[in-house]
Amino acid sequence: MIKRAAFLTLLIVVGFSAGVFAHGVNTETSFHAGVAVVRSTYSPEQPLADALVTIYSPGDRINAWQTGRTDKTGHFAFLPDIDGEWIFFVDDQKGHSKKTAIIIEPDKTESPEPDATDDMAEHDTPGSGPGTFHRIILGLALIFGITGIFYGFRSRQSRKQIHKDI
Amino acid sequence: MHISDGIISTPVCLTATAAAIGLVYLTGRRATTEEIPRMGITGAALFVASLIHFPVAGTSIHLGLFGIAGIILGRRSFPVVFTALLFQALIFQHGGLLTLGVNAINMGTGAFMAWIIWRITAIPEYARAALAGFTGIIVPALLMIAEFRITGYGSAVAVIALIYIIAALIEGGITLSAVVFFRKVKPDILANPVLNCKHEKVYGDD
Repeated sequence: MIKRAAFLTLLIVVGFSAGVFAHGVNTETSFHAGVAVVRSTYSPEQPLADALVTIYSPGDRINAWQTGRTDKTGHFAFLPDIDGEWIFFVDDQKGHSKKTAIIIEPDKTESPEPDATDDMAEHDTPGSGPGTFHRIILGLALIFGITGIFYGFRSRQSRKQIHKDI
Repeated sequence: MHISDGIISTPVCLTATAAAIGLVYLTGRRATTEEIPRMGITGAALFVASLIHFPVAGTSIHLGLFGIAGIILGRRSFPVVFTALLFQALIFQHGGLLTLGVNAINMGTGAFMAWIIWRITAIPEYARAALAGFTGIIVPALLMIAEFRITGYGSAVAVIALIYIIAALIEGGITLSAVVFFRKVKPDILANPVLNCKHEKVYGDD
């Protein structure tokens, strides 16, 4: 019985492991004095350090305008030379990536309006993991699942013992 | 509150993890069918609570609910804290897998101390509740500072205590509110968990 419960627990944990170990990549963008800075993170505490960055300019979506790597804090800075929608693509080369559109608007090169930030379209690529809400649900499901297994295991033990006593 | 990987030396982390797994077994065995659902719900609350952040003094602190866990579960709070931390580390990278044992011992001790305070019936109940909530945070914070000092960090890490005093005060208020709420709607949840254990015969633990 113990072996069966342990196997079931292991099966659930392994079954969820793909989701558990998948990181969601988040990006935060700022633009000031002609410099665009993007910070890429798995979570507020865990930056995407040394991740591969590819930037495409508004006029050319095929040839990369610039490539490079994030620093150890997950930051990457570049200087957009024209207005329009720039594509920032970050890839940690471990299966997690994110594409972010950065809109550089005319006459707002000093500091973007809040709306400009809101317009940034962020697209999770297939490599990106679940968002915070899904992770909370995943964690709660695992906790309640394990609780259910132990509850079932314990109540079955109790029932068996009662039958034996009778 | 959650110590990340790479801060505490690996041998210390591994020793703490082994100790924590032993404590999970010792404090979690013979859990009754009455206690297991309570442990699950408290574990879920602990798991989610760490995601609620408050900005304080240029940094952010989050809820722990270790005081409430200690009051509701007694010694059973240790496996619950361990499980919540495990999933926080796996799913949110909150803390680290290597430091799981250190974090579990820190926060589990906080919950355990909260339970000790909760059992001192000479103190009025609401004062005990607030004190238990406060203890549930300040004890792990002090343990964390001690571990940083042992690892070789300077005395400046003691500043962490000042931040966590604020967190502990908030936690004390939340624990007090929870106890007031439980006293009104479900007072039996505040009964001494160990006494409850003794009422139920446990089968099949040999």
